[in-house]
Amino acid sequence: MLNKKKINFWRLAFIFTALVISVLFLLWNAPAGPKASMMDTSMGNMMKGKHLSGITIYDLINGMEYQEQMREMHSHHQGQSPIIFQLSYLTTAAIFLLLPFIIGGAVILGIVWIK
Amino acid sequence: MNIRFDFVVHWLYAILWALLAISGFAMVGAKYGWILNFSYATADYVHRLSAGLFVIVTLASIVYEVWRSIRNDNKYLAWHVIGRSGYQLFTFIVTLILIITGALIWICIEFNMAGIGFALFVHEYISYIALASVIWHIYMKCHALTWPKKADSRKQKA
Repeated sequence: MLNKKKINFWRLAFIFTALVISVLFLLWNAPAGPKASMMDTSMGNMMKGKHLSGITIYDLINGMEYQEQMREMHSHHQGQSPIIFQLSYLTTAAIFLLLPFIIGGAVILGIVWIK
Repeated sequence: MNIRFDFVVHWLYAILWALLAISGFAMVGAKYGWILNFSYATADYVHRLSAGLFVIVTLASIVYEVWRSIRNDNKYLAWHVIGRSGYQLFTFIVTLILIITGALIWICIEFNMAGIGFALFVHEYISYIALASVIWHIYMKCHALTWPKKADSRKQKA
């Protein structure tokens, strides 16, 4: 029996289901088949399979040998618009400047909450 | 009108989390690429921008919580995204893991494929757990989705 108190949840679930079905229906004929067959796995699983088999803690910390290879890969992305680059710098700066404060705050809260 | 900090942060956090989830799952691989019509570039930009804002909102919540601790304010804030127990603590831990692994993906993309592989794997699987937990959270708290009745109409009934 459906719990009447939870009717809002089921309404929301119905809306999301309808949205997903609509999107899938609209994309039914989209040219996504070849892409899906090329990379029919998640990015995390793909990276795990390619780069995490037989890996050691040392490899996680010391991965400098890949630098040249990665630099070449990034050189192919240089033709993007300046706004995208500025956006990238801005978000990178926001994340890396604020990250130490987040970790510091989390440590303080951890100590206060345990006490 | 009394606007509460925890209420505003809760919904900002929810909107940003939704944007991060949509863009993030669209980037996970071809099987979820349909979410944004296989436009991985759009997903990437939306994810980066939302991540920057998400970090700012998380820091604001942490600063607010530290400030409350300094003032010895132990009042339970029902809408706050972080807290010392229950789902608030779970959200806090998951948020920290997602931000740290996200930052690792950001750094390691320059030089360390093994680092990316590790961070991406953790980031992705924690996201699945977080998504499941959000669905459970909405189910448990769905009474909050009811639009509050006006005080005047209550008075009229009385």
